[in-house]
Amino acid sequence: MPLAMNREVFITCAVTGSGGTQDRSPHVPRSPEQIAKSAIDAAKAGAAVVHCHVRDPETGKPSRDLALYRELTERVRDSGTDVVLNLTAGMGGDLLFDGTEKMGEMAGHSDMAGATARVAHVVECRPEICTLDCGTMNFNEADYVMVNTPGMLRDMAKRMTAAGVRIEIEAFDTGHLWLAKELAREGVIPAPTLVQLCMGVPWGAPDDLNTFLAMVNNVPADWHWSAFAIGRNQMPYVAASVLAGGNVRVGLEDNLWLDKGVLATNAQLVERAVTIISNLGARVITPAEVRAKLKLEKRAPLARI
Amino acid sequence: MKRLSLIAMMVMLASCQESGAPSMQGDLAVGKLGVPQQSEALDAKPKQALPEDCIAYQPGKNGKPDVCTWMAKRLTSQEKRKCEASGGRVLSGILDPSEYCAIPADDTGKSCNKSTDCEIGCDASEHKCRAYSNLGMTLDEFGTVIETEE
Repeated sequence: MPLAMNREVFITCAVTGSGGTQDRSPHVPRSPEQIAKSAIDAAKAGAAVVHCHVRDPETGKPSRDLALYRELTERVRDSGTDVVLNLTAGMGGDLLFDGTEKMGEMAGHSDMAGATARVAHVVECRPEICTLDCGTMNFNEADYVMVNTPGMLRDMAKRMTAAGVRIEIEAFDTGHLWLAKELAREGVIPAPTLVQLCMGVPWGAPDDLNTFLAMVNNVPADWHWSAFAIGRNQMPYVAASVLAGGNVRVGLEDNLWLDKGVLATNAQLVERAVTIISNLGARVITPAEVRAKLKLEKRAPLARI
Repeated sequence: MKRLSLIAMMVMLASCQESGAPSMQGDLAVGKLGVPQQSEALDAKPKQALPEDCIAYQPGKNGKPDVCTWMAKRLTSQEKRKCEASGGRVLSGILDPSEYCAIPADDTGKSCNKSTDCEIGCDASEHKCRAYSNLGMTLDEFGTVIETEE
């Protein structure tokens, strides 16, 4: 079978994320104004899609505040720069424990929310895309579980689709893809279907190429897909994903460094991805082309009456 | 002898896959890179007719009927009148055919030459800002016509 690389690639920039990185780099944006500016700079550098979380403007801590999402959305929409807006819906499923004895109660710093709260900003802000983390997994730290039950995912997916927002499935492991395919078969996630393969995030799928291709081989042939790896494998994965037939994601949510000892901005990471993609002989496509490809509807945020 | 049998079996299996013939495990869907997948057909349809407004269903197990889990919503007459009185229009969703009240964008009807001139999109034939949606033929940020299908 000949090489089936993707020759029309879209770049997603994951602008800020929810990790504890706000104090590790001055380039990690915190306020809606900073996040919007960084997103627009990334769009000007070539990102067709910007994937956004929000943070407390003062402390930089991850937030689910509807007002912050609304301000971010309006700033991006009013910027005069066209870009596809992708908001996270991954927040509100963070289950933490205090050590290994008190397993009958959540730690105080857990953040567990119901479906209504988890998608309130999606319903109101009406981005073209929002993410749906299709599974539960141990997440990096000692006693932290990212919780997304099948029932919760069905409920959230229906609300997202009812709001006219396309779902980007986030799959951290093969089981997440398996469930996502079931949700698609049920009609809960409508076509055209989009999945982001999230590689190398402890303790989901590791980012070796064998595991990556196992993930790719489990994506149905008629789905659209993108992939990323974290840390120092972020840029190698731009190449790997294009060669395997997919689209790419870069950004400060997943990696802070441009080079050894050099902290990156989102725009710089996108520029480097553009260089890699172009040097592979592929073309970076525009936001309008992504909307056409994925049948994305752009609408204004819900009117405040 | 055992190794030769194993090699022969592998060669036979590989040639079956290359020819497109079903493998020993039955018909398999082919994934992105041409490798057979261990998954069921994704275009399985419900076994019996579900209500017309049914958007999603869960397959019935052990001979039980399929269950509709998600019905499209319809606005009441009163809700429709209220929508129109507020300057809105009752539309059906694209991803979800439920009815909803859409309020037009503030710049509806404004002259435009590219997408960034408008809140929603610039209509390709009328060169005016769209009220509700970018679907159909619009102008992109470079003023080029682009079509986004429903």
